[in-house]
Amino acid sequence: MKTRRIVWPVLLLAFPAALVAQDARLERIRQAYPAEAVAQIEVILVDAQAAGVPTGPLVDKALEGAAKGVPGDRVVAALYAYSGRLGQSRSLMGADRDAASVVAGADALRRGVPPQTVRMMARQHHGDIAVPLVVMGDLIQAGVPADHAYQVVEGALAREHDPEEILAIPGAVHRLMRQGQSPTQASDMIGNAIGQGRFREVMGGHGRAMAMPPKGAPVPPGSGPPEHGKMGEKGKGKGKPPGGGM
Amino acid sequence: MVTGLASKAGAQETRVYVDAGVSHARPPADVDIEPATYALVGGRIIAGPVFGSLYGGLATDPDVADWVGGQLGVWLQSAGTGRLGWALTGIASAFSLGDPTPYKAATAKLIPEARLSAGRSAIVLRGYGGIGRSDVTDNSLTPPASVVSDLWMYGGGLELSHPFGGVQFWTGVEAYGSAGGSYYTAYAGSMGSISGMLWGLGLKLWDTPGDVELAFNINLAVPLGMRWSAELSAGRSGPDPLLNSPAAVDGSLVLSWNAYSPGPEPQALVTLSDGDATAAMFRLEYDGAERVSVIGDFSGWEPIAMRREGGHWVALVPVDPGLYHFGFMVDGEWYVPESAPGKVIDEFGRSNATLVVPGR
Repeated sequence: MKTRRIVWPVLLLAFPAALVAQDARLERIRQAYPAEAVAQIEVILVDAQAAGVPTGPLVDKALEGAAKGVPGDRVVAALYAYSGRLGQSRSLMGADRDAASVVAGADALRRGVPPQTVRMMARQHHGDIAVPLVVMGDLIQAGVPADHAYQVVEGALAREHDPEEILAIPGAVHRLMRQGQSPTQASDMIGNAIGQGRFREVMGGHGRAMAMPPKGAPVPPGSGPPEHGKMGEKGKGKGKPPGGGM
Repeated sequence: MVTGLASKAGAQETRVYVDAGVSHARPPADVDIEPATYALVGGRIIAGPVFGSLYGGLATDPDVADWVGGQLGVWLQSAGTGRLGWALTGIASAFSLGDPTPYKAATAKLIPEARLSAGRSAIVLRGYGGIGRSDVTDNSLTPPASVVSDLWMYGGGLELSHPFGGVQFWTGVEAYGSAGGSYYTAYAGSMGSISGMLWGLGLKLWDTPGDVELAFNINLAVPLGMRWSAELSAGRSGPDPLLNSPAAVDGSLVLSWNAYSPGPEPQALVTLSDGDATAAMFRLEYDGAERVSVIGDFSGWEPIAMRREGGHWVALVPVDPGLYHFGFMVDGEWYVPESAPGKVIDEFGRSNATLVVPGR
């Protein structure tokens, strides 16, 4: 409690209005963690506010830690890291971006979306870009290469599809993957359907109208794995008796 | 043509392909054997990290040996999308040619990889190790003589890869030592897809104990419907350091059937409904639970009890436009299904799902 007594009056002088407005949630944080951890969390929030990083997601993260029973010191470390990620996301997107987009950007970076892709998306689209960033993260986690994921999402945005429709893209890609497509093929098919104006048909048609070759050609013995090998690298002995036995 | 199957093995799905087609092979210039054409039939299975194949070649010329061969392997890789990664492939292969040129061999290979990614580029350091045994019978001798050889090889290589506009390019060098001598190779290749068609090109220059060989290939997989595809492969296969076999011109055209049978659509974990206020309907399938609640940013991380409805746990939660992280408490334990949307590491070593509610 000693630390809290020292730090809290100082913070009260500096506590920005945006944080005071979250007072009920801050009070829950104060009740959930030891005083030392609370003091550190409050410093993180003040620093974030000063740096232009949205504090709402940080408060959410602290409450999440409490709900999950995470000890105070680990929550503090997590908030430092999360604040840094939100700051990186904000710097990639620009200062005037809404909190949902900044959070989506931080998540997207965590999920393997390249920073330059986040920046490119933000440059090309003003306003809320949370939906395309979440969808790109879903596609990349499904195994779709980042540039293919970007092309699919960008294609849907260019054709001004509703956010609900864009949110349906990962489901459509997963559906094709369940039918035997590779992630790249599946995303390309969805991208082509979007480009050809058949987006709704594909989303509603369970992919049945779309053709899908299995990945890779048959592999006689001695060659690499069929699923993970490269198509441009021919399997040894393919199309001839194995081992060149002639 | 042939029945197939598909099943889920954990989060991974099993896939089965049945293939039939024709292949043609021309022997190396210094081998006194006529070109051969085969009817090709076989199949492939991929079950998570395990893969296998079995093929047979039936020669159209009775003087040319028929053959059967297969492989079984496992492919493991590091999780995540970090800059450093690894992979390990193990493959056991065997084949047998019949009369008039009996030739049997069994091999096992281990291929470890270390990968360093920088943006979209990657550098792969790859090693090779292999052992095996071959048995060749010379029927022209009286009595026929059989030669059994122990096979071995080791090697390594370095590969660079980078995509340009949706086309993946790679180039690399490799060196091998083997029972047959030393092999060196430099290669380049690319692959991409156009309108669902997969294509691949490759060029590989070999310096073998016997000669300098040029191998090249073109591969094309063309969709012909929901389950069918035609797969064309043509070129000149390179030598095999482990089998000590020469390069040869060959090609094949195969009709492939995806034996997978689509199952029922999984139900969405969360759906949005319109009305005076937007609400999210959470629907979780979880057998054997006593108490389940949904919890997330939308509730200030206060648990919202879910009720049983049929075989599911459901809850209708009012939500405003925004982005929300969430998950489920199942009997006091944090739980996020594998198929959850927007699944992201939560800073505490676990995962959250993500719900995006678009603005009205």
